[in-house]
Amino acid sequence: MHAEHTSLLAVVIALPLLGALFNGLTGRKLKNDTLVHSVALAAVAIPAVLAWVLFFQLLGMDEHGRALHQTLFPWIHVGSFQIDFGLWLDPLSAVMLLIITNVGALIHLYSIGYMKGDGSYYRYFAYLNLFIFAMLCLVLGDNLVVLFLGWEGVGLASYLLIGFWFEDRANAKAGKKAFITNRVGDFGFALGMFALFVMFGTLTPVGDGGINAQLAANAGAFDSTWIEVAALLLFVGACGKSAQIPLYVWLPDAMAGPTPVSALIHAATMVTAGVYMIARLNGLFFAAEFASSIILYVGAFTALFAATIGLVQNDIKKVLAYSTVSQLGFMFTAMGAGAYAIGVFHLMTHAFFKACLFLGSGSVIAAMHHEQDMRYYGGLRKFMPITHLTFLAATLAIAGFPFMAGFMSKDEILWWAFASERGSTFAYILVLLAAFCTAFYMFRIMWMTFWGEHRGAPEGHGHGDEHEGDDSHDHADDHGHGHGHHGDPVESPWTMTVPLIVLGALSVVGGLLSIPPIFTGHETIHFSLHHWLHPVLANSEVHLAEAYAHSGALEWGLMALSVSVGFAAFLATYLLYKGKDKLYDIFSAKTPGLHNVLWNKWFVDEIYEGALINPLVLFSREGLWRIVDEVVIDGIVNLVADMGKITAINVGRLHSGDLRASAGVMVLGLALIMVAAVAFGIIEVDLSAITSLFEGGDASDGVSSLMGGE
Amino acid sequence: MIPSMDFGLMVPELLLIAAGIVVLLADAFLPREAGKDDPRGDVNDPRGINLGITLVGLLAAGAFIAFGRGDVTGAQETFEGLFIVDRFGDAFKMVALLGTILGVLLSDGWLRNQRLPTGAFYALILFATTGMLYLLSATDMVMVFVGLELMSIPLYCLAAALRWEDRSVEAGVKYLVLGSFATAVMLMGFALLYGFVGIYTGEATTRLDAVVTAVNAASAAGELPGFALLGGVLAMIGLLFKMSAVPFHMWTPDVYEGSPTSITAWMSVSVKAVTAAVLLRIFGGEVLDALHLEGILWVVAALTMFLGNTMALTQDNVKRMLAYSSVAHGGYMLVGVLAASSAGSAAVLFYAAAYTFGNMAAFAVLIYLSRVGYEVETFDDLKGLGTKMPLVGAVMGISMLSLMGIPPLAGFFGKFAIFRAAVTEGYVWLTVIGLLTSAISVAYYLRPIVVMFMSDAPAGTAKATGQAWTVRVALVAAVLVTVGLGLMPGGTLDWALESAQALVAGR
Amino acid sequence: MPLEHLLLFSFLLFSMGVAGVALRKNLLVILMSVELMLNAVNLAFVGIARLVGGHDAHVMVMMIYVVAAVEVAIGMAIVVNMYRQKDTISVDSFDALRG
Repeated sequence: MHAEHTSLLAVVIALPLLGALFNGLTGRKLKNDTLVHSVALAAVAIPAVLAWVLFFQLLGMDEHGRALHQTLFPWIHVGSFQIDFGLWLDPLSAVMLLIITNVGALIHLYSIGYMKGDGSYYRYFAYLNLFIFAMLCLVLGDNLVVLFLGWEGVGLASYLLIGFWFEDRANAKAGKKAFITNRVGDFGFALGMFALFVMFGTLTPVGDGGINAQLAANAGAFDSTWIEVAALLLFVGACGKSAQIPLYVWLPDAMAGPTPVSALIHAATMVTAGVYMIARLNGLFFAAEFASSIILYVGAFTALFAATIGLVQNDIKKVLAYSTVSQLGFMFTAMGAGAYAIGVFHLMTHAFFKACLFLGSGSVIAAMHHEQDMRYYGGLRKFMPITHLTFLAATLAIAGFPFMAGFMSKDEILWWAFASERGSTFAYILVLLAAFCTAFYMFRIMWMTFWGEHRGAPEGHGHGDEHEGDDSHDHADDHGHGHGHHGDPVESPWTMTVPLIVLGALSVVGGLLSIPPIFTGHETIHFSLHHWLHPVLANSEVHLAEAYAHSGALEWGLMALSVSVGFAAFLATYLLYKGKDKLYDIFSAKTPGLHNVLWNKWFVDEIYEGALINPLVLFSREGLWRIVDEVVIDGIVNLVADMGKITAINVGRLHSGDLRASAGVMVLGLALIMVAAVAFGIIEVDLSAITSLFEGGDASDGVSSLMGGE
Repeated sequence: MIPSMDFGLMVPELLLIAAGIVVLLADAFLPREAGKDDPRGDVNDPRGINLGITLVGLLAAGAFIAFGRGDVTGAQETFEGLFIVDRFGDAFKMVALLGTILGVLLSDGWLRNQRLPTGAFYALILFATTGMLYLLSATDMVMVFVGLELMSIPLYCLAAALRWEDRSVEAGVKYLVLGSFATAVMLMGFALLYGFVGIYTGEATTRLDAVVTAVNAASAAGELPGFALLGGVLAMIGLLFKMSAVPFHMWTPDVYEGSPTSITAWMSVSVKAVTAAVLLRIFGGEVLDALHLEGILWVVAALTMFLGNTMALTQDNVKRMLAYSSVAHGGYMLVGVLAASSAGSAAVLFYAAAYTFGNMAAFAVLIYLSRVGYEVETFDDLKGLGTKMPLVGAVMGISMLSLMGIPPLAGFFGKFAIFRAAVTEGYVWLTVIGLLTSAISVAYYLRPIVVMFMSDAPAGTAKATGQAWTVRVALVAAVLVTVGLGLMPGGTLDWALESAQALVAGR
Repeated sequence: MPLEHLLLFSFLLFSMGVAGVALRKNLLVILMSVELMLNAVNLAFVGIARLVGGHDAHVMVMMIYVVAAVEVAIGMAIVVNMYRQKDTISVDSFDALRG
């Protein structure tokens, strides 16, 4: 694919970086909040406009040559290893670019209201701009090294923002958890990149000679085992960044950061990086069938697992956090089933409705003076009509109400999980159950938060026992809304409601961007996301299994099933939560055992702590010391001393600080090398020199026997 | 016949010696300020002048190497081939000099904290640096030996500089005894190789290229005698000792912990870089295989990476932890020495540079936090640093991340270059071991970060203030280069590759 | 005299030096053992030079003498200092650095 040159891409990624630098360097001195947020907003809004310009430029190009390219500077040139800092815009990265800049701009706008009066206002916006820059590097990079740079960059920004209120230890701990978990993933990712480079001689996935093109041209030329290995390693990286089993544990804790950050980074954009990466390398994952099946099941299990935990949480952000993990599981299910376009489609609709949900929850939290426990909510519909309506729209979307955004994409995922050549009935059942749980916990939020009677915080219940630290208290008090702690909640200012309305509307109509073929009767419609992505994904099409390919009735039936599952969930919440006072008791009273398991998140944190972290600490502190030091070293030393009394001294432990032991180890090493050299026949021992010592001889003899070595 | 003596090629070395002598003279004859008191002796020495002369000498030597060599591209020899100047040696000389400049800047801060006189200290540093430079130009056993000792003997003294402190004295004694021991072993190896060349070619010479040629020829003809192999092993061990490769690393943690912090920082980077270069110059290429050293070096490199990293896990003293980790970094450089291709040699050079700045930044933080009468060196001392002094905490964090090999920092590209060269040369399993051991290293490099950012500062600790500008400059320079080499490694990698090609072409 | 004999003698001397460093407690004796190793090396150089000719080995030997003298000078300074500190020059008294 020949790509046209453009200069706009550099501007798109440069502006957020400049914004971050400006705010980061001057923010503290200038002390001008209006300037800070104007600069930050412009640094994202202008790229958002440019993104549309670029989009239309792409649209005007020939369907199969849609790509724009720009090389900023030669980066690493060593021998055959040539990496440029290049940017690449094709239909896939264009979708991501539009989501990141536009949703990003909305969330910047929202943050102006939400973060008002925070002591580190400038720092927050500098980090947020930095995040946008890194995320754009991630999606626009024309090779995996630039992508990886962005990959690390978003991790850094996320880490900084999670720990934003760093006076609070819990937040800092959450930041640490995210940091360490992601290092595990990055390790896999780096190894995967290495394998790719060894196999393909390039780290560029796109364009002529790129990894996808090489595989499309001649997939048989590459060792399938290595392809599987590379794909699995990259997937480990995706698991870390996109919070899949077993590396998901950081995401729920990451909700400790400010709510707009949760919406932008931990719901709409960064966590979808793994999905994007798989779509970017679709040729590789298409060729890796075994890895795909792993992805399918990891995705499906994560979807169900996280959704069950979401059923019982009382912290509104915790529910949404587990919901995000679960929805990401849906996306990976699609990727594993080979439905790459549909995975990206769900990524997009999820960005709309989940951002809306998070921002809605932020609006509620702000109105409730940073109370996050839903048991003290209720009846907010009366006080916050806009928040309620937009939240409802997003809830219906995620729950799969017919023709809403989430319905279109999720139903396609269910169908592909069932009918794809790479899908299975088992995976289908998992995600169907997950869909039920999703609808259940979402309507549970609706009942507990917006519907019913307003409960409010009980007397004496401060708003500070289990959430942000002191800083956020001041921050809450600095908010203009609310009339003291026990007044009625009020609707948020326009900077917060406008993004809600936009995202709520997108949650309703966003699904129309890619209407599933079953509604239209055509394989693809001209103005659909599916068709738009086709040039990128054309060589990696997994088909429906033969048995299901033409059974429209079956698809209608399954669709009816999933819709009715959603309604069943709604009914269940209606029966359980309508008009109940002590809502939170229902689960624990009726099924205490199950509630306990779910409430404690299946005890995964405890299992990790017990099975992995403690033994590791124990091993490094006790085991390694004991084994290496006392058993191996002392053992050898004692053995030597006991057997031959070779050394009169009792050499202490290794590194005991004993000078003679140090010299002894050196001599021992020397001796071992000699013994090995003799044992492997590298040096032959010639005893004639010694015998000749007793026989006499002359110099020439000596030379000849010395030279008679090898 | 008068041998050719082109002193023009030796200007950097001569400059350093001159600077060292001038420092000693200035220290001895310049008037001292009266009235400054210290129980340990005279600290009213001309501190600023001593520092100035030292820095000028180092900078002049560096400037001469960078700009004064003319347009000659090939290798130049003088003193009957005893002394060689080529781009490879010059590149490592630059790395060593930069490390030394940072080391001197840190020494200034450390000496202030300890209230110690500066003259002899700087002179010793300058002499040791001269030794390093000679070593990098050495092509003859005599020169290798003299250079090595000129580097080591001042270091023995520097290690024992705190002569009223048990730890420093212990460090000096251990370094001296074990260092001389290793030198003797190396010399025995040289003697055997010398004997082999004399007997095999009929012309006895201590020139190392003649040794390499003879060994390769004998090996190709299948008539390499056992004692030549023994000589090769022994000669290499002397150098492996300076690299602190396992099992010749036993001195490292003790000496590094006991020595002055600034000297530890400098030793751990510059001595390693120089020794790796000498290993590459002498043993790089097919001679390694001919002498059957490849397998030995393989095992040594693997052990070094493994033990260095695992032992670092259990340390509570940051200095000691960094000492063990420096053992491990030596192991990674040995992997590059094994893959002695031009890419491998370039990787060693880049790795040495990246390690120099990353490690210097970490030590700079320790010295920055220390104050008169109190040295910061345990993890507890770092508690709460991230919230109390975020910028210094960030420097420490960046340094740790770079040493870990996290992109986009210098350390990542160093490791990447090393492993890539190793895989190209067929050392796949060694690369796997390297990757796994770097995963171990993450555990202990994270500890300072965790301690700094996740735990509270103990009550009553004050911010470190009033540190000398020298320490600040070193801190900022080291961290900026670490980040810069990570973001823009291209130019430096090119430079390293060109320098390495000069070595490989001359083989 | 055949070269093997000379080398064997040199090796024996060298091994005694090695054993001395590894086994003796007294720092002075240890330093003397290092000197023994260096002298063994000198012996090997000289012996080989006598067999194969050439001057390089003689240069080497002179250098080794000089450096050995320097090492002893430094070593003595450190030993004296240690004695002042610890009142002993036994290496068993080392206990500040370990682990």
